[in-house]
Amino acid sequence: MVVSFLVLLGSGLYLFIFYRSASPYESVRETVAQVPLGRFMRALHRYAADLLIFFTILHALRIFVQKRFHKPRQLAWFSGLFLLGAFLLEGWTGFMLVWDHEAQVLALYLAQFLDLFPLFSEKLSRTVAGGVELNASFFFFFLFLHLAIPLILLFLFWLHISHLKAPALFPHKGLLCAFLFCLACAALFFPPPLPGAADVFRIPERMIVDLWYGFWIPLVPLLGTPLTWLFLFAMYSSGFAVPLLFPRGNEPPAQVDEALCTGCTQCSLDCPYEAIRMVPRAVSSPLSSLVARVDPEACARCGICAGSCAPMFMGLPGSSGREQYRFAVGFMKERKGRVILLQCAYGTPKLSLSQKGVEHLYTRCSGSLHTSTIHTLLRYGAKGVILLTCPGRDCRERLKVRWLKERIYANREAELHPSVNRRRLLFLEAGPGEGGRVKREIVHFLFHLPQEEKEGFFPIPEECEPKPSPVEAKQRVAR
Amino acid sequence: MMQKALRIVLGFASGFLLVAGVGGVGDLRLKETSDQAYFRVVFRFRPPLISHCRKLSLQEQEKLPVHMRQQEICERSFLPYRLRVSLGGRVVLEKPLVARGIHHDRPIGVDELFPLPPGTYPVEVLLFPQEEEKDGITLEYRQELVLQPRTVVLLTLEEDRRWVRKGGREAQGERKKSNP
Repeated sequence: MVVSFLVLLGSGLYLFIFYRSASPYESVRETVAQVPLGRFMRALHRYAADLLIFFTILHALRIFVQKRFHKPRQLAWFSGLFLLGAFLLEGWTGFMLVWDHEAQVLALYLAQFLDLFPLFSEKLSRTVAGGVELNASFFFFFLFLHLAIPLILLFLFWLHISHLKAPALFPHKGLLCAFLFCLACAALFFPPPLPGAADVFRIPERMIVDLWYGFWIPLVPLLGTPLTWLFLFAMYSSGFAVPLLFPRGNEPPAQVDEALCTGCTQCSLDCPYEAIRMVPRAVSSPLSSLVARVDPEACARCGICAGSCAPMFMGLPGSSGREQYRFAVGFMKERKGRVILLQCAYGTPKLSLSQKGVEHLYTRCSGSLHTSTIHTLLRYGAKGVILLTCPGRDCRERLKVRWLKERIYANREAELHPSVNRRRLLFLEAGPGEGGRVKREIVHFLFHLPQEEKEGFFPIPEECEPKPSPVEAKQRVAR
Repeated sequence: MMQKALRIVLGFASGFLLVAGVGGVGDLRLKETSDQAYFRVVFRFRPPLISHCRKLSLQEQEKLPVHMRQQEICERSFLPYRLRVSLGGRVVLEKPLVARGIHHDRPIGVDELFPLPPGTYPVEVLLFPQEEEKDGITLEYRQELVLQPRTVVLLTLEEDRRWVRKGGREAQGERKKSNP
C-alpha cells in the first residue's frame, strides 16, 4: 500500500506539471499523446490508484479474519477505515480532473447526493448537469482537493501506525522490485484507455467505470441516488461497528507474579503494544525496586511476554514459562527418542509427519514459547526439535518470530540455554502454501540428525548471524 | 536451479497478471442498451419576496430591548411557486417548489430528468405562483422538440428569466403530432 501510494505521489506530481484546469480534458489528452512518458505516467497513476484500493481491502479483510480490531488495535482499525474513505475521496477528485464520461456521471451522482441535504444554498447537480458553464475555478477546486487530501492521508497514516512497534511499511526487497517491475510493464504495455470527454448532451453508448472507485455507479439507476448512498453509508459505517459486532471473548490479560519479578524490563521492551510498564514496587523486595505491571486495556492477549520473561512467571494464564515447562515434562514422558515439531496453530502449513517419527505439538504462537521449553524437551529425551512458525512478516503479532529467533540464536534476554545443542534444532518460517519446502527441509534435518558432528547442514537465519565489525568486514573483502 | 528460475518467472507472470487484472478488470464497461432520450429541466429561480407585516402591541414592545423596539415588524419569505411539465400533451410533473437552505431563504433549485423514447414532443414547462391572486410572474416555455436517441435536451432559465434550450433541436416547419 505504501509503495502504491509513493508511486501515486511520484506519477501524480509529473502529471500535475502538464495539467491545465482551464481545459482539463484537453490537457490530459495532450499529456497522454504528446508529453514524453505522459501515457506511461497516467497508466502508472491509474493502476497504482486501483492497486491501492485493492491492497487496502485485502489488508482490511486480513485484519478482520484475524480479529485484530479489538483494543489496543482499535485506533488502527478506525483510522484504517478513515484511510479507506479518504482514498476513495482522493480517487473521486482525481477522476473529476480528467472530466470524461465517468467523471461527469460521478460528479452528477455525488452532487445529487449532496443536494439531499440543505447544506448548500445552490443545487449542485444544476452545476454539473449543464445548467452552468463549468469554468477553470470548478476544476481548480478539485485540483486543490486532490493535492490537499494526501496531507490528510499522511496524518491518518501516521495515526494508523502510531501504536505499532516496528511497523513493516515496505515489502521484502525482492517483492518490491517485482511489484514495481510488473506495475511498469502493465502501464507500458496495457495503458488504460482515455474515455471520451464529458458531454452533458450525449449519453455514451459505452461508458467505462473504474470498479474500485465507481463500484456503486451501476446501482444508482437501480436503487436511485438516496438508496444507493444509504447502502454505501450502511456498508461503510458497519466497518466501525465491527469491534462491537464481534466482541472479544472473556480471555484474561497477561499476568505477572510480582513477588518473583526481577525488574529486568525485558517484557516491557518486547511487548509490541506497550502494555507492560515498569512501576515501583508496593512492597520492597531484594529482587528489584521496579516491577512489571500489565495494563489490561492495552494488552492484546498475544502472550509474547511469556517468552521474554527469563524467570518464567509471566504470560497469559495457563501459558507462562513455568506452565510450559510442566507441560513439556509431561509431554515427553512417553515420547523419548522422538522429534518434536512445535508448530504455530495459525498461518503455517498443515503437515503429516507421524510416519517419520515426528510428534506434532501445536502452540498458539511459537513467539510465546519460552526457550526453556525447547531445552526441557531436549533434556527429557527429544531427539530433535523443529520449530515451525509463520513467516515473520505475516505473524499475527509480527515481532514474535523475530524475538524468538533472537532468543535462540542472538542471545536476546531469556535466551536459549548455551548448553543446548543448536544442531538438534531446526527453525523454519513458512506460510500455508509452503508445505513442500518445509517437508523437504524437515526430511533433510531428520536425515542429518544422527550425524550431529557433521558441519554445515543447519541453517542459521541470516539476520541472526553475528554481524562482523567494519574492520572485520574489510579484512574479509580483502581476503 | 531450474525450479528456482521457474518460480521466479511464475512469480513475475502472476504479479504482472495481478496488476493488469486489478487495473483492467477494474474498468467496468457499462453498455447503454436503450436508445432512450432525456429531457432535463435544470434551473435556479429567485421568486419575488412577500412581506408579512404586523403591528406590535405595547406589551410585546416592552419585552424587547430598548434598542430593538419598533412599531411594526415585517417577516419576508419567497412567494410559493409550482412547476408543471407537460410532454406530448400529458402532465408528467407538477409539484410545489421549495426554496433551498435550512431556513428556505435561498433561491429555488430544480433538476428534473425525464427519460423518453426518441421522437418529437410538444413540451410545455410552466413556472407559476401557487396562489394566483398574489403578484408573481408566470414563466412559460412551449415548444416542439426533437429528441434524438441517447441525447439530452436541457431546458434552463437564464438570469434574465428567459428560458433557454441547450442541446437537441426544435421541430422544423409545422407542428408535428407528438410521438409518444
